[in-house]
Amino acid sequence: MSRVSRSRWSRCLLPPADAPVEDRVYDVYDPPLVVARTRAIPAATQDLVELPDRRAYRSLSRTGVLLCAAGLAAAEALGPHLAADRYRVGIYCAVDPGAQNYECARELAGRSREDFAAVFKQLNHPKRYLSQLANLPAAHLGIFLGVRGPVNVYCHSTAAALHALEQAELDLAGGTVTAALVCSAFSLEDPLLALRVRTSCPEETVIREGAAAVLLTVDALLKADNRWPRREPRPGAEFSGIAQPLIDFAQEESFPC
Amino acid sequence: MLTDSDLLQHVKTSIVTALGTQADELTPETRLFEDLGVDSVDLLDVSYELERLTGCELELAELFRRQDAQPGRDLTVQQLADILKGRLEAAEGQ
Amino acid sequence: MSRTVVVTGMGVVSPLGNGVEAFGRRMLAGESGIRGLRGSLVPEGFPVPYGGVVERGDLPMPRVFAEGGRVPDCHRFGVVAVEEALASVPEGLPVDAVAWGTAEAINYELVEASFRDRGPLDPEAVHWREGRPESSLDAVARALELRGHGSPPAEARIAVSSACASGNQAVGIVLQRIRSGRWKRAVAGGVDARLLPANLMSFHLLSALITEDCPPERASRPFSVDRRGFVRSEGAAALVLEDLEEAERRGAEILGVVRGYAHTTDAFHATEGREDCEAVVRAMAGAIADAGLRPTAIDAVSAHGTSTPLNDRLESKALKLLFGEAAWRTPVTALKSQLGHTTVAAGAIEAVSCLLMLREQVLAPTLNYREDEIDPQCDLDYVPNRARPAALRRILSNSLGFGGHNTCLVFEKVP
Repeated sequence: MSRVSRSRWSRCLLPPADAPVEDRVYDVYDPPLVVARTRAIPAATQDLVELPDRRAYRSLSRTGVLLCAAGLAAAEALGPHLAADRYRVGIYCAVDPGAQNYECARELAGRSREDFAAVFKQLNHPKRYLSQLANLPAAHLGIFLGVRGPVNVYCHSTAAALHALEQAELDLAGGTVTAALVCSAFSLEDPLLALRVRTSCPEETVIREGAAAVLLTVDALLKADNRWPRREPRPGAEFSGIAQPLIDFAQEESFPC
Repeated sequence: MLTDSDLLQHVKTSIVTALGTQADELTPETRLFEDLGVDSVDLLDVSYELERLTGCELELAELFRRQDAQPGRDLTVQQLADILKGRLEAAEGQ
Repeated sequence: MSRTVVVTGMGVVSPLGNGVEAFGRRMLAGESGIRGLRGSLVPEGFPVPYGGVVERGDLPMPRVFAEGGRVPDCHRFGVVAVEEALASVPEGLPVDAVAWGTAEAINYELVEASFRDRGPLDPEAVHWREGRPESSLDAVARALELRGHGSPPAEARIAVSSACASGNQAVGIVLQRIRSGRWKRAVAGGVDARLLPANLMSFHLLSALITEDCPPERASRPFSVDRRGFVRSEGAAALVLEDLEEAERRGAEILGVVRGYAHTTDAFHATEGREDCEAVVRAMAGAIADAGLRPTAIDAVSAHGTSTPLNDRLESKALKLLFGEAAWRTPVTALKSQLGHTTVAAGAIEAVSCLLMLREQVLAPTLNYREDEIDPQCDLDYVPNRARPAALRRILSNSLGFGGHNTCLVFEKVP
């Protein structure tokens, strides 16, 4: 499949160079679950970005806030496209579903099923479930930016970013949209997700939080084949899970990240 | 029994926690729907926080349905505290 | 060049029956798949009393699982539906891809199980590996390989998440790629195997579900004046979509045409729709235009119709804005009245229902619609309570998801 789009703007959010590599300790487990060789973005979730609506923090996971942080930075670049026709701007997102409430699960693991409803209600505020839905970070981003075109969310654990890039390409080529905001994020918030990514990578690979957003539009003069980024971790490179292919794409495109 | 001042403070704390509102933005006259843009899910969330603080279950969804059916009616922070007081007194009476 | 995309196979696992024929028979007979959950799936006194449950007794265990071990419901439902859909595709014919609405993740049950053992967490334990969203797609891909259809690579195993719009979106993804020539034949569908206490409580805490004390089959009441929220349900459906020329070349039976698709977003609220309905109207109009048609060409609507006060009011409003006066002459049917809400699988199951209605030339009923007292904002022809024959060429199918995703498909009868 040949490519019609060019990156016009991109942003990556990654831990700063001086953020230490460390073992991540999840003490919700006893003994604690330790995921070795990780790097986090050194900011509390609510400090990652100032969301236009502060209520949204309650219904977003850390991954979701990170996604919004990357995507909101595109507001100015998206402006002219939204002004022309907000129904022809799309969002294409690759993201893991948000973390479960581990404290609640731990509490209920030792309780009878008759207690389930009361304890679950006590330990989960009503919006907690919304933070687990994979599509809501992108939906929130669309709300904040005013995007009314398609908002597509993919969650294949390794290929989602490729699916998002491909869909953006198809929609641009077909004229469904004139601008495609492709975005992805990965956080260390979810213990079992961090463990899964850790065990899928070579021991020396550092698992790090990260997010990327890329704005693609059609370049009528472009003649290129698709070069989709690889899914697997690169030897010696840090790895941001589901978001890594888009981070690679953003960094390798001609527009500086 | 909680004082009127305690109850008002609990309501404010619940709104701050649930909605991310700044505490100094809230007065007893602040209107939930008109001033804070509260929707039905927000009301459920405020209700949850109030229940955590006071042990009192409030069926705020019903209040929202009433408001939705009668545009122009709103619920102030003070009125929410009054409703809470009424429910706590009723529960105590039982 | 834009190719015509047709459906050459379909499969379904649902509370209304497993298998397309059983499902179709019960659907057109106006039956309900909702039953009580207390004392079985949930304890007595659980706040959510009912749901749509798949009868597992007559559900086959596909041979792809013959090696034994734990078979999660989401894998089994998905593969059974896909294998039924593939029954008309000769073994050995390539299937290029699978696009699938799925809610699988490191879900609550996996997390709770990880605490139950009390010892250190074992990274080799099988159960938590199921937490990859593509796990049911991988099971489907193994089944495809067993039948000699090839095994789509990861790039062609597309797990989509747009909440209740996922099933429609999966069909739209495949439609787009077959039209462009990228694929010749692919599976689109969805699976929801999340009818479990944690999921029920999660929706209950959002006040999204009806929990009234009533007979289970009376609980789901789309568009009715006494609607109080939706009923959760589980199930799966799969369609085989194919390039028409390919289908004709191999002499396949063509079950219907996927004429059009569109996807817009409300950009308004995480769970509520926008009052002006503009984005929903644009999605419906967009799907119809994508089909090369005008609204007058639509003979019926398969509504999203969740039985919530807000959705049903807004969807009715959107239909009136789209069709104008003709809205009152265009029947609107809501499968969720019979089946409940299967979230990520809903669009796929409703696609099967549309194709069956087109085949049989009968409209499925919207159950539990009170005809003695009408909500003035929901006053269209919802095919209340009884199926009825109709001349049907094209049905518009709506799925409007949490987060404001509006996805619409147009299905057409084979001439």
